[in-house]
Amino acid sequence: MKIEQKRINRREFIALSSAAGAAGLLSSIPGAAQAADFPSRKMQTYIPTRAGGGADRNFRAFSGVWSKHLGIDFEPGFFPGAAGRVGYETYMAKAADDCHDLIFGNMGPEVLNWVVKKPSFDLGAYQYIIQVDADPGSIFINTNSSMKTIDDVIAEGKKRTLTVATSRLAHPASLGMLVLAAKTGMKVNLIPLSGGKNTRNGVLTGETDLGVLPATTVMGRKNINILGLFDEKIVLPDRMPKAIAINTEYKLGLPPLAAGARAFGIKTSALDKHPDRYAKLIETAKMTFADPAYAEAVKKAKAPIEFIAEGYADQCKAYFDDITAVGKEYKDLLTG
Amino acid sequence: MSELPPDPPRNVLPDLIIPGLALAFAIYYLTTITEVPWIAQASAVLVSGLLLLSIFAFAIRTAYRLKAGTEIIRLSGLIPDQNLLLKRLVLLCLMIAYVWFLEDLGFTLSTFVFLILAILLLSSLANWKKALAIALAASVIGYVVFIFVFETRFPKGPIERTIEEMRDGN
Amino acid sequence: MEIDLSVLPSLFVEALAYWWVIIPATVLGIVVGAIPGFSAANTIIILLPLTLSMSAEAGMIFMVAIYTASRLGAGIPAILVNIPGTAGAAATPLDGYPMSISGRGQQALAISFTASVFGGLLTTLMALILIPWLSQVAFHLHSVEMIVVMLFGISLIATISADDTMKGLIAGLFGLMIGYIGADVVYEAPRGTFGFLELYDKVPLIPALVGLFAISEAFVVIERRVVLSESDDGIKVAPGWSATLEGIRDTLVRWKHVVWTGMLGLVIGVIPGAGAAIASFVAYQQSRIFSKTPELYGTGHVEGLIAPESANNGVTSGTLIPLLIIGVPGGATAAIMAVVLEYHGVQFGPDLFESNPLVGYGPFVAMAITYVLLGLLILPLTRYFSNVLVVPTIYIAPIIIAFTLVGSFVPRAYVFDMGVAIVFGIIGYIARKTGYHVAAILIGVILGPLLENFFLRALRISQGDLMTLFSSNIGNVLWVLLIASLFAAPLKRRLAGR
Repeated sequence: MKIEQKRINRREFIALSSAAGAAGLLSSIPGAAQAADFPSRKMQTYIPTRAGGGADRNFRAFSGVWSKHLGIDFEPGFFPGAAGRVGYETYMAKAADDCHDLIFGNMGPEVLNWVVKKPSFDLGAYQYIIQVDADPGSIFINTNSSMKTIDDVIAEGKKRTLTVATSRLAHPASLGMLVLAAKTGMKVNLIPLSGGKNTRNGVLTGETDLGVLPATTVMGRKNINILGLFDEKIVLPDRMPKAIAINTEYKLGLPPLAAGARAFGIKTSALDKHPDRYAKLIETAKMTFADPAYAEAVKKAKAPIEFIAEGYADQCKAYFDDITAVGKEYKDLLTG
Repeated sequence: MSELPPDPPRNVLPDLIIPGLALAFAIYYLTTITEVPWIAQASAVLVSGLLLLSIFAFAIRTAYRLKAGTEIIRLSGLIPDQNLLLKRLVLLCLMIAYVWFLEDLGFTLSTFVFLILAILLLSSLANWKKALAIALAASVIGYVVFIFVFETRFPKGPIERTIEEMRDGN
Repeated sequence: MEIDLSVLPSLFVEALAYWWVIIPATVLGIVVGAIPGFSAANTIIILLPLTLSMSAEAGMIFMVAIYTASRLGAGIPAILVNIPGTAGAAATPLDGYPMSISGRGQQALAISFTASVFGGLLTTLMALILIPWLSQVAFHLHSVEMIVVMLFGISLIATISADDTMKGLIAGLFGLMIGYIGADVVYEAPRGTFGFLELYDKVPLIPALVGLFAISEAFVVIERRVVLSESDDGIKVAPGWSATLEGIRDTLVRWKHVVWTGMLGLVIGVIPGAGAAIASFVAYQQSRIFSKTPELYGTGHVEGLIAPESANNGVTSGTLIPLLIIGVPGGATAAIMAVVLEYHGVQFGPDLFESNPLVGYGPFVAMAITYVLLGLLILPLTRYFSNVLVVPTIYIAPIIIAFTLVGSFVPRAYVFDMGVAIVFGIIGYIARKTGYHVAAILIGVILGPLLENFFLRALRISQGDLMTLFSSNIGNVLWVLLIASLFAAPLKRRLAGR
């Protein structure tokens, strides 16, 4: 079932890929015929957050179906710590560049993290290749709060400093909140509670005035109202009847930065060495998105299928650049 | 729950190792938080303050007891059984070697080698047949339970790979 | 939040489907519990690789069954040879051993088992009924109150776990400082990591506990030829059923005694830090105070054996309640379970009972089932236990070292973590040999990051105002109780000393 032939394969394929030429841009390699004996071992996936979190949920849904099309199992390894830094550093240090080792993370907070503090490796040394979801950032509130709308929140925030629960400081949802505060003149104090569940509980116990999180984490939860999304439209109006599209409503001048934008990444050197394998990964990922079993798996994981966002290297790159630009603009606020 | 000998002056020197380690670590820790904002320092400063206070209290108590003669400090007699200490140190080295080679040799082989050496060490080289049998049994059972049946992430080496290839070959 | 107990019957059925986990765990728990030093905590650590490879549900049930069964097993050497298998059985020999000497050993075992099963089953069912209400409490606790709760945990463990309060405090605070290693939650700044990236996400708990408990124990145990002391010729158990049946009868006619000492154990178990050892002594003491024949205690009195055994089994379920509701383990074994469950991604808190009822209620359901199975299994086996005590250490110590070291590698696949286990093994060994409690260090390591998170959060919310620590009514009540409890123990000792 799983043969560990790492060394032999690597040598063979160095020869193969040098014959094919070191292709820089890889999306146009036709067919996957050369990658016939790929994958030859379990796909090791590094996840830079804790097991049981949002990334874990999306990973299981996608890899469960993807493994069918790729013909091999995925094995996740969880490397939480320092806002994803540990996972990425471990991946860059330990992963083989034979296309069997991937990283699966949430691009938003993790890229923002690089804006705040650069990692030890070069940012070009890895790239995201397959995006699986776009989960908008939301502002949510305890149902028994006196504030019922975003306008209420802003009015209150002009009177006193509001405490806002968030997963991390360097997070697209935090960023959205900071931009909203800056544009409307209200005062907020972000309270990072590490992780969706803690953030939700911070609002539920009444310890903070409100919270910001990817919408999936709070949608349909008891005693929680979603007041708005950091987006240009409300994808699921019936699941969050009170929500408004904050980006357009308050003219934030932000691109729609999904707070949850989970994606598979890979070492750039692996892509350079094995364009054929990369092509096979993309081809099978496309088959996965097209497979009705995937939508089923997402539903089963209690994530809305409306947030599935099929994207590849280009879309990921665009997101990466957008969030880096906005992050740089508000860097001072993110570190406070 | 080992009983401490209650009678004549107790050598208190070994009891100072843990407070010493704690003190050294607390000081090191404080040097690493000089850059962070104060609210991130507060709890560490508080806890290390309490730690220092307890160690201080402990030191005073020890001084008091030394004066009263119920406790003494001396270097001799620290190690009641030299032979056992040597065994423990060799065992520690074996453990380090085990950890060192585990990823390359794989679980089954390195466990077998470690067990046989450790058992021989502890039994002072008596009865190597029994050592062999137990080391073999434990590493085989370990392999079957953890790698073959439960597929845990135990490090794999030549033995595990060969068996997998044989499985796949058939 | 409405409370729904209707899930319980189906949970019982679901948990019963794990019989293949429960039965071997039960047998294993009894056997290992009987080996002095190899408590439930150590057993779970040794079998860590196995537990980690199971699902969260199966792993939880497995651990609970071992935990429960080893509590019973620990009574065996306590009664037969006057060596309690764990601290929780420390009060058991007071009346159990005299019975044994006078030739009523098997009867004593039967009494101890019956009291354990009966007391344990009862308190487990009580816990199941109470927990939905108790869990509501957690929804009213903010960071400020949680800080005090954490301090309760650490202070009680430090004061109770060691015979020497000062050493206990030093060990606990040392553990806390170690627990502070890693990047903080607000600024993500690494602190005390010695430059190791592997320590950014706190000290890995599984290697820490492997080192503190298993490896240090292996170092200690090689001093003896067999796990038990050298001269163990006192093991005599009369064969036959009549003594067993007599023991069962002795216990059942004293059912009231079993009930109230069990309840006492449950209540003490809920308090973080007050574990089985204190519960069994308190129960023994209370039982003697209220007895009509206090002079018989210590001479092989049946009630003197029932009280600690029923109470320490009551603790078993009590200790899990704070763990599942607020993530604060009630004792060392619960702390280890916390580590394994966290590895599986289980997040503790009141909504655990909604989001994952099998993990939330599961332990109690599994415990109830285990007690029933234990009753069926252990009584017929009573006669064969004595053999367990004479395993040569030269074989068992290396095996424990090898398996637990690899076990500490499994969660993160870092060779580094095995090094962490060795370092903690050395610290643990020194601590054991010099009278510092390893459990106090471990609880510190576990509670450290929690305490620091809540502290940081409270300060951030109050924008740096330290007085926020005294800003809540519940919190202030807890502060008073905390200070009272800190001074109660030394005060009591001083009074008793007079």
